Amino acid sequence: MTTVEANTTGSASSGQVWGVVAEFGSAAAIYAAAEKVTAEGYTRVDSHTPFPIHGIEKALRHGPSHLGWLVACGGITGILAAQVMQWWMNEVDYEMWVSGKTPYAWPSTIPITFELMVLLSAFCAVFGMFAINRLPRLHHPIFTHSRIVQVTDDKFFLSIEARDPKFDRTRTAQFLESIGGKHVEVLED
Amino acid sequence: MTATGAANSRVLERVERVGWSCAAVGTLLCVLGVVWAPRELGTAWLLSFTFWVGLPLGALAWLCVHALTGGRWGAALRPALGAAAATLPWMLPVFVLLWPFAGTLLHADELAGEAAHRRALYQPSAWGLRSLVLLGGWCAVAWRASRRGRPLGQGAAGVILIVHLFAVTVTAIDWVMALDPEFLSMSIGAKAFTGQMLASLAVAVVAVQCGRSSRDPDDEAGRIDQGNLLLALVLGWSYLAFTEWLIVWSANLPADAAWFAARGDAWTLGFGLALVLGHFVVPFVLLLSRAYKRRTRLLVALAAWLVAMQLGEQIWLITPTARPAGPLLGGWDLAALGAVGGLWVAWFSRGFRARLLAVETLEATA
Repeated sequence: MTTVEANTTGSASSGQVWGVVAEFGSAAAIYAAAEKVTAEGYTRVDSHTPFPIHGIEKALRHGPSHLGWLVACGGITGILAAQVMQWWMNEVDYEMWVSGKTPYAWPSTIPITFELMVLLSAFCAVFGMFAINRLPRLHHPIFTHSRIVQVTDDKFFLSIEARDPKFDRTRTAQFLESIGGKHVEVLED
Repeated sequence: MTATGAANSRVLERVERVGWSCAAVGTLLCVLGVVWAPRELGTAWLLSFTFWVGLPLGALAWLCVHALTGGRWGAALRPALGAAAATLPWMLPVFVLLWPFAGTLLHADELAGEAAHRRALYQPSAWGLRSLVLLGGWCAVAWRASRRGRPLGQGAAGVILIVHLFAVTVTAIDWVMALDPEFLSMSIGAKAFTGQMLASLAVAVVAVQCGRSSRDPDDEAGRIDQGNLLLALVLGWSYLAFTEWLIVWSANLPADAAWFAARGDAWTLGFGLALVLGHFVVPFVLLLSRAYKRRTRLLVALAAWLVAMQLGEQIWLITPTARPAGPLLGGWDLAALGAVGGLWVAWFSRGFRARLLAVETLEATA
């Protein structure tokens, strides 16, 4: 295997293999490759492309995002927190009767409950997205690929990570070459 | 013509025929009603008119919004929205037939002790003239906005939309709030506006998506957009309906509370709670799901359900005030809803079919 090279840039490298990355020439090519890779049984697969490719997440078998559940948890927390807060303030801590309504009257608690639900849902959506994507981060192993600059122009990259149970340094690289990948490189963390 | 186009055309022809027969039977029954029970028929005709006129008015607002923003959701819905807006001229004679009932509907005599300008406002002559002028203006605007292949300019659409909101507020006050001149609600116009937009969007979604496959990936994004718009309007309507109630509840003023108290008997209260469930909770939960919005049949079913819920809200708004002792929905109401509704559906199907054919010819020649 002459084209498969371990990318060891200098002695500072920790030597831990992160994964294998291959380059493809078109959106159709990487889509077909993604289907083949997942059909082969690889699960920790990702694409790195100059623009979003419609439906690639299906070919990569990424499944639906977990973010929705996180947002739902945030929303429910907001509802419960607002209800407990208003009940405790109005009914327990500082009981106050306003225009003949009972101290804790549910209709008047709805606006605050709604606001807190929206606030915590929005926080979970934004910060949850950051957390799931492990942002902010200053470096990613994919940047050590020798031709990765092309990802902002006209080339498409497919990566298989080393933590994939099926991953094998040589065989995975050979497989990516066999399905049409160019410049297949083993990247280190 | 494509095979699906021909099938759609046949279905629409059949719908149009059903519409005309429904209108004929309904009109016959309403003529009997004028002789037998003129009072009940007045309420029934008002209910029917306010519901059906909301569809072209909402469609007009959507045509303006789409002219302002663009977007694939509107490009797909345009034939249906245009056909809906083009039914507006038919609402003029329907309103003219309502005018003679104004005396029994408005209770101008209850305002004997009020200021002169309020009494003048609720005189049947002034009331009818106001609505006729607004309906005439709307007809002119709808004629221009629904023209095939020539959408409104952005500036015109913006101005129309602003004036439209004020006009809808005026008519909401005249057609709904005036039934009980003591009741004052600031949000009734905005609520009518969102309700009309919701109903007309739902009708357009039913018309456009009915008979389409869930598998078409080009349609999928459009369907999700349309589902999201329905969700936004469900939320907008619920927000306005809840604030109106919350403000009346907080202030606890006799005149406003009486309006809700009139809806406090077991049947009407149950009906109101069913509306909370059917017009807010159920569509809200279902429309959150992307998987739901992706499925054509489910989306069409929910859109049709939302049209029914808008009719339900109109019933809840009008009959307990206009007919305190009577049932929520009576036989004469059904006759009037059938008469105006048959006319509306027939004319809508006709216009929609013509627009679909025009789109197909355009695509065939392109």
